[in-house]
Amino acid sequence: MKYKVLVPGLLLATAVLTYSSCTEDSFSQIVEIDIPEHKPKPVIASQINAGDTLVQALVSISQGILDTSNYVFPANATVQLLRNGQDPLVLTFNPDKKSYTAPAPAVGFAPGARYRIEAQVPGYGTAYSEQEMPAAPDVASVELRRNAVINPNGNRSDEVLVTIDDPAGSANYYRIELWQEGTIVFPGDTIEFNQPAYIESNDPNLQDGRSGGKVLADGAFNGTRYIVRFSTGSTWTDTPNSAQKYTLRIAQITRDAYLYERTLTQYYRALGNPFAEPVTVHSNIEGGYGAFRAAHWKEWELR
Amino acid sequence: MRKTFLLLLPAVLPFLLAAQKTTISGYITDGSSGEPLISANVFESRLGVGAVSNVYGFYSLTVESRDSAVLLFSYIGYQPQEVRAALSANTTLNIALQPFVELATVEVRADRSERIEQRTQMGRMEVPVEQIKRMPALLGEVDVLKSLQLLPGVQSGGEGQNGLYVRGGSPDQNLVLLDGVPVYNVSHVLGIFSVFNADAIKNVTLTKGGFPARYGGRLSSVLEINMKEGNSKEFHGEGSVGLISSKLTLEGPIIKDKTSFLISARRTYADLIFKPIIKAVQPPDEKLDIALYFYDFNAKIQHKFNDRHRLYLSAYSGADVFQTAFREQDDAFSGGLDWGNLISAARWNWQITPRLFANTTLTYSRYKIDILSSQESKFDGETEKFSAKYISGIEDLGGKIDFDFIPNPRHYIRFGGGATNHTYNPGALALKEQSGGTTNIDTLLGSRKAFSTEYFLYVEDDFSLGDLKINAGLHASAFDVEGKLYTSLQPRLGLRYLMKNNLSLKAGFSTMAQYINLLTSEALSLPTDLWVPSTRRVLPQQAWQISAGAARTFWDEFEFSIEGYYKKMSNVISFKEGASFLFGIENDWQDKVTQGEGESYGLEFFFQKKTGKTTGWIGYTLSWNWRQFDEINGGQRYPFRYDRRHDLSVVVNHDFSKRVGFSAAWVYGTGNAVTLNTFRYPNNIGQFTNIFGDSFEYVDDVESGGERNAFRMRDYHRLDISLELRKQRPKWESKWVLGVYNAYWRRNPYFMTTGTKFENGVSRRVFREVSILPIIPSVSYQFKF
Repeated sequence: MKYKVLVPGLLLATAVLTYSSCTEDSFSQIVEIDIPEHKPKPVIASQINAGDTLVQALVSISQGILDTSNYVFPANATVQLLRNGQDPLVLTFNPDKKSYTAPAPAVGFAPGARYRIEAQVPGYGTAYSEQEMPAAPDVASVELRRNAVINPNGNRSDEVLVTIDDPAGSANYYRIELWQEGTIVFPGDTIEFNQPAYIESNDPNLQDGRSGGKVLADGAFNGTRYIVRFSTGSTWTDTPNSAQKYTLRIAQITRDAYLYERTLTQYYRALGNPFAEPVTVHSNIEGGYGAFRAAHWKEWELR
Repeated sequence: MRKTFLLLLPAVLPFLLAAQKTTISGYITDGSSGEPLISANVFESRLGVGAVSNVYGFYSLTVESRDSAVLLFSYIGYQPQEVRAALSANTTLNIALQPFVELATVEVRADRSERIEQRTQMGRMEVPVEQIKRMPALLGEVDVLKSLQLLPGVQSGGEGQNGLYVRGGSPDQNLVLLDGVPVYNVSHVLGIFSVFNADAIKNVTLTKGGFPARYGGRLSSVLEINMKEGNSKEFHGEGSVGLISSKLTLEGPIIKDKTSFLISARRTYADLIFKPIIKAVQPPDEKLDIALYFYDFNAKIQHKFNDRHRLYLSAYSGADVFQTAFREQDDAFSGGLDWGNLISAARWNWQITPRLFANTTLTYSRYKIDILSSQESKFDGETEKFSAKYISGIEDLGGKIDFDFIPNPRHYIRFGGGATNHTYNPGALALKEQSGGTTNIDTLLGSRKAFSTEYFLYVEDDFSLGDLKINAGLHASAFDVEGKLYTSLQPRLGLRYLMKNNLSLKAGFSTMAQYINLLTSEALSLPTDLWVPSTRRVLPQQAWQISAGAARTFWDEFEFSIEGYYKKMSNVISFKEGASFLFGIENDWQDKVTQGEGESYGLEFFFQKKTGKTTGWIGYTLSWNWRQFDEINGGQRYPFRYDRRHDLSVVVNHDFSKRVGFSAAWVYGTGNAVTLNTFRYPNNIGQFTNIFGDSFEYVDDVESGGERNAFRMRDYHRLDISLELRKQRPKWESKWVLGVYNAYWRRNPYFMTTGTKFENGVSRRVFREVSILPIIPSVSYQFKF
């Protein structure tokens, strides 16, 4: 047997082992890793709504994940909103809101016009994003059916039917939110409420949005009449027939608004769940992070 | 069966009518054990025609009618046999080749099949079981799947994992067949050990592209593992005693040369070792019970009725059991995780004519996962009980028939069909709560059972046109689910052009469809992954792949091949962003998934030394692997978690002498692509007013990594070595195998985690990669009698 080969081999293996185990904690199976250094960039968070009287934009700076300091909301940024590349509307810093604000243009936000928001933050460069203001949603009818369905908690619940005439030839996106207003009388106490209602539906096209609302893409019904059915679900009181009045708000929103709302909802829902799939929150800011969105709302009162 | 045959008769009739020739057919077997020899050669030198035996050892060679033929039967590692056969009529000639005794002990025979440049099929790799057994193994447990991960185009999922990621596919896109039966879970101990006991296995073949028409049902690969038939000559056994498990395989004749059996069992015994220790150290008022083991059991019976009819019955049962039970005074808790496969097959070989061979198979396969948690407590004399049981699994019942028709040496036609009924249990949670004899909750949450039936038909011909060899075929499949019938026609083509100097150029094209899916979390790897069918909402996965390459053998000893491939997949499935298989179980699984596209392409290099005292190979893959889902990463394509730019394997075996052998395997792979939040930013400032009227400002923020899977874990590399010390006696062969896994103790990442570190009174967030397998020495004693 060729021990001449084996012995040096064993010696070499021992040397390699000794070297490889000479770390801070030789027996640790955990390795701390370096995170790539983050280059801070401007952040813009803003949504313009047709009919709004105020334009507001949150402008800040992104931070590396290991940076534990508070966020910076710079007051010296130059923030402006342009319509079709013209008529710049300058937003000024409002210390109370830590945001940049300005009265909305006198002509309002016109459907089909392109709006561009720009934020130039000294030391961090310029970030911008563009959105085209959508038209108002083409809703043929809305209908409230009292006590028409049974919600997951076993209580009867109100149902709402919305008939949308979706425009053909383009991808369209919607947000639906429902507000409930009413009074609940307890023995010796009366509570008045006016708050968002949770929308519940089996419609796979409806995706969860923020504050109990839903967002909807027309991929499955592009260019056709589509009826969205949903129940008012379990309200925070879970008391049947507690809402005397509903306010239904439906907006046609931009694709970016749809993606942002959907992913942000998923993101917050997944927080703290080690089994959840990772979520990348949608960002549409060139040169920075955040989201600039546009929406065109319509409102109905349902009794 | 008769209907199928009649349907295909027009296609084969011309060959039947042209049969004014003589056919020599039979079986080629190992003379010492009676085991069929797969891909053994028979060659008639005067006419220059030959044939190759199929997976059952059957061959058929049709030659021009003449007085006699001189046939040379050969198989690497066996003594060739020359036989003169009279050709007055069709002749049955069963041949038993005797192994070279010297070769068996001294040289490693790395390949016993056709030479690489002669095969029509691309992307097909055979790994001899002797080779698999020779490789260094974690804790001495010989592992079929880990051996395959060392081949180009095949990647492992990560540290110690058994999953095969073939040419950009995911593990559910591999059709793993044990004696023709699909195996749904191929791993023990969370993917660290494979369920296949190498002692019970005869051959392993992996097809990763250029699929012939007989294969279907998965997008990325077909892994065929056949169990040994059992020695029909004499009684033999082999086994091993290792650090974590022992195994024993027994085989022998029940009726010599007619009926044989094989049984094989393996069990780990960590629980048996720790149980008495735990018992000795636990306080008297506490009781802890642990069951922690896995086992495999294989059995097979073969019966030869006559030269034309043979029957095989085979079964496999294996499971992992992780159970704990804890009792302290009036409180008791128990919980655990069990999962396992049960599969069985009945096969009937029927040599219908000397040129037509049929194999009929009936199969049953079941994979089941149970996660159980229960709690019991006594309070004021009343007993409260709560139990939660998560149940998931899949059950198949199927049948198929395959025909081999060999009209002449230039054509090898295969055709057949089959059907499989699937029953899915895609994750249900049974909850029960009892208090004082009253049942408060007794409910079942989750998705309902689903049923489907899958059908397929195929026809293919392997034929020669001079130096050009073609494998052309068509695979048709259908899937009946929820009252909807999906159908798919899948053309297949393989070309091989043999040039001078043993160089061949090859190309392949195949389309595939897949009707079942494995829902796998990227966040963690557990056996709780769910098998679910295509449905009305979830469309079947589809793929097409094109590949081209060249192969050459040098000096009869070295093989070199290079293959490039491009694969496009559609309707691949993934959990939606933020979805979790465990929470929100009351939802339909279909609500949690989304479908999209996959794209992978790359180059594979393979250089192998097949014979001699030193054998081994170098395999290298350069590849790209992408996914795109409308609902993930904002619709932008992103690298798949297992996108691995470089994947390199070096395997070396060397025999110093008859008694001492050495093996080493070194692997290197680019780190996995993962999503890691590397920065954060605010997206909203709000005001909160409490019930006392005090207002607080809060900032909502978002953590992000920019894009999905934009961060790379550290590269993976590892060296495993083993030393064999053999001893040979006339009736007893044994060897000690000394091994070291991860010889230079690389901390290869298994998963990532975040945590907090305190330094100088300040806490800071840190990111860590956790490695689970350090340097692990092992020793095992293996024997054969």
